[in-house]
Amino acid sequence: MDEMIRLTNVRKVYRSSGSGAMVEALRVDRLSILAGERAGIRGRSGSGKTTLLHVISGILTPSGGEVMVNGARLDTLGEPKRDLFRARNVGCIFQFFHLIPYLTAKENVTAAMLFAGGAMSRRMMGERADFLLESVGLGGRLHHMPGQLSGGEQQRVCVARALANDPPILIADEPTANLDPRNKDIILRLLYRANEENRLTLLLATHDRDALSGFTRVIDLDDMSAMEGEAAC
Amino acid sequence: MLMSISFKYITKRLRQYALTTLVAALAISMTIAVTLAADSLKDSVVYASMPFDMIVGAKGSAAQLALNAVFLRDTPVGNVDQAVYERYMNDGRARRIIPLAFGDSYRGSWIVGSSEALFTLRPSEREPEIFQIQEGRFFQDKYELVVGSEAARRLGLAVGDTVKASHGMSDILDEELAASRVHNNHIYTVVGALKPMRRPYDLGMFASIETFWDIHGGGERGVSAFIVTPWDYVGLMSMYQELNTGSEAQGVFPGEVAGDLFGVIGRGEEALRLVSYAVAALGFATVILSLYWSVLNRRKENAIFRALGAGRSTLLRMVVTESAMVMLVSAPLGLLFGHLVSGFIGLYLRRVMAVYVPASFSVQELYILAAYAAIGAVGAALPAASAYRQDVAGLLAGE
Repeated sequence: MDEMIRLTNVRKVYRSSGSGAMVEALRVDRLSILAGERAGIRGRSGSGKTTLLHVISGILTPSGGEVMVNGARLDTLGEPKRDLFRARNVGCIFQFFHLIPYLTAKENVTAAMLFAGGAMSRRMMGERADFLLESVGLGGRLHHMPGQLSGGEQQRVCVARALANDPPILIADEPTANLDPRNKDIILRLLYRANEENRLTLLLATHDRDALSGFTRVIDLDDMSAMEGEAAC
Repeated sequence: MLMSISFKYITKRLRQYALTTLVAALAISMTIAVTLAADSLKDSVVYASMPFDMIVGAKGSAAQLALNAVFLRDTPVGNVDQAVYERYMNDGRARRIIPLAFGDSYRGSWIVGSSEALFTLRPSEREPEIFQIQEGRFFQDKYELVVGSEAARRLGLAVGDTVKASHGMSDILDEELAASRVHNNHIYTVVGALKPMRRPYDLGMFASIETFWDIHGGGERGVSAFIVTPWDYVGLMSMYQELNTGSEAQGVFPGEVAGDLFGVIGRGEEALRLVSYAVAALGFATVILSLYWSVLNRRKENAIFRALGAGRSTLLRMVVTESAMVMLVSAPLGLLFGHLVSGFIGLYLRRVMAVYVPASFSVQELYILAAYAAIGAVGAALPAASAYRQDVAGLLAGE
């Protein structure tokens, strides 16, 4: 399989707002993730799970090192190019759903397609949003506002939104942390399905060891040791 | 679709945007109302002065003389000697000499003594006379009164009515004072009602000058002023110079006096205009602040858009679209309010002075709207830039 993500000597350093001292939020000497891989990321709070996902998606630039994602050197790209890269290559799912509260489920999914700058007509966008929402079991909730949906349903809208531009990479940051066991199971199954059917590279960061049971590889940021082929239970 | 997102956001915060739009509309309307009212007032004063090529009156204030003869306002200046009036009447340099006698009124409306020549008064020789009979006829004899359309309407006068004139220019409300000055033995009969002239003379009432001489003793003749319509410009200038170098009377060009008045009024108008610009600037600042607050209020949502791949230009377009939507509503509202305010000013001037402020659309309004659009667009860029600079990762970390 081709290499989808490669990080080399990546560091992310922040200046602490309190003391003004420099704090290292992320250090990855080397990390390689293959196309279509299903990788879990775990670590204690503050170990840099979210920072790693943000660096891979281009939301953050590293303080040092090389970030190669789907053939693009993200650490050298300017912000506008990283924005467009993210829109076309990375689908994002968040712990707190982060749906736009004044848009319907369908409009939330369609909005993601707007930013990819493709040639899709409005009608095609609408049809794709319908298809994606039906595929996550929300065919009857297309025109509901986020506030009218349960937590599990909101996260399913997020999954549909993340898949809107058919990206090669799906990153999920604690996607099940706010869900009950039934909805957690539904979301994980949707993510596995996307990984298997669309050959998406799936990266999921979580505290939840159970959530990583279906993953073929777990990256532990506490010691940066990649455990190949076993669940981190 | 971007527009639809902006529209949905505005709909969600309808109250805030309605207030912003209203403030912006008021800012536009203030600027437009001041501009329109100032321009219209000038036009209407020039329009009112048109039939009066030159006014001749006693030495004194030129502005007062013009106010008396053209607007039927202010305290009448003293009389011109009858001999002077007759000399100009007979020397052939003027096409028309029309005498005017002031000093009496009826419930606030000036009674003007004149000759039949008054009814030939016209803005130019190519245009019809400004005096046109609506009902009845012009005066032919003493104590016959022809009433202006506005005076007739306000005082409820019709042909056949009789009135007792008061000496002086008593206010219509000052009944007691008016009553003490009534010429009890002299009763006018209304013989004609005029069509609207859309000039200050609509407020006037007109009788023969012989009536005035009769009321005021008969022995002493004289006129308060006379209107000169020349044959040509050379004749007009020769009379003007002769009058103003002599000691008997003064000649006044009402247009010139209006110009001088506007020079004085202009400074006030300039100050008013500056105030209106300041109000407009405050309005624009409110719009920009409102947009800025709107961006601050939805930092989280902008961070989500950024996480989904929205770039600088996209966020800029969204904020500018909102600004444009505010403008699309506030601009016509501002125009409407501006014209309404200007209309009210016009009504007030019409009521007080019978000066007709024409309702018109000024090209300056387009400049004001263009300036507003430009400021709105530039102003929108500020919050948009702030939207782009925000800490996306930090905002996404929160609930």
